[in-house]
Amino acid sequence: MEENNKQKNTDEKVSKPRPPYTWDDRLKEITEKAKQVIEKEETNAEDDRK
Amino acid sequence: MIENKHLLLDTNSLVSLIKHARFYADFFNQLEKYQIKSVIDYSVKFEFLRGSNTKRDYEIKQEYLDILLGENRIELISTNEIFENAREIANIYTRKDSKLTKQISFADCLIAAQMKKFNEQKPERLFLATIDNNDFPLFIFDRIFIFTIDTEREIINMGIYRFNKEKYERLKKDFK
Repeated sequence: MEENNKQKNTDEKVSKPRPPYTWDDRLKEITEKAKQVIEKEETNAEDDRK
Repeated sequence: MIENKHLLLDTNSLVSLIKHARFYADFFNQLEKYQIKSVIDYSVKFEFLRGSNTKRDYEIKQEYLDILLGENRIELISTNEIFENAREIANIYTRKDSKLTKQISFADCLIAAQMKKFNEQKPERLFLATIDNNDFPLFIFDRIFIFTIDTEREIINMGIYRFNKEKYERLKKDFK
């Protein structure tokens, strides 16, 4: 347990913040969700114009 | 030139990155390769988030910004100085071409003012990415690169711009 905590602390010290604009699974996943939101907004705006 | 510098995306380029994400993979790779740092302006954040119909939609868009821009992003707020610079830049636009008064939005003028301010101490610290290439006129800005994507339905040109202090100062001097 103590060993695990030591390792965890070391990992936290060396881990760097995730760099911006990284086209990884996290960004791909949230982009897909955001795309649905944007498309919904555009459809609503289009309906309001009619 | 742009390596390790800051890049500000305007609202329409953010929306384009979302709608046509898979076509922008190479664009993202370039930003990552050159270790570009992220910046967001509050007027862009406002324009991007304002259309949310539900709390859930708002949260998704907010989360998108958090993941895209990362923890170390700079958030630019509009101070009195920024508003005054935005007004001054808008006056220069009008003097050069009166059509620009209506064409270029308030948010675009604020972005131009942020570009001026951010680059004052150290030139070329902040660059702008936009797909609205007519909204950042070349009599004040320099377009240093164009990233083109072909979605098969349309061709989109993402221009990368820098604020040109010399051009601006010359035009400001002529504004009497």
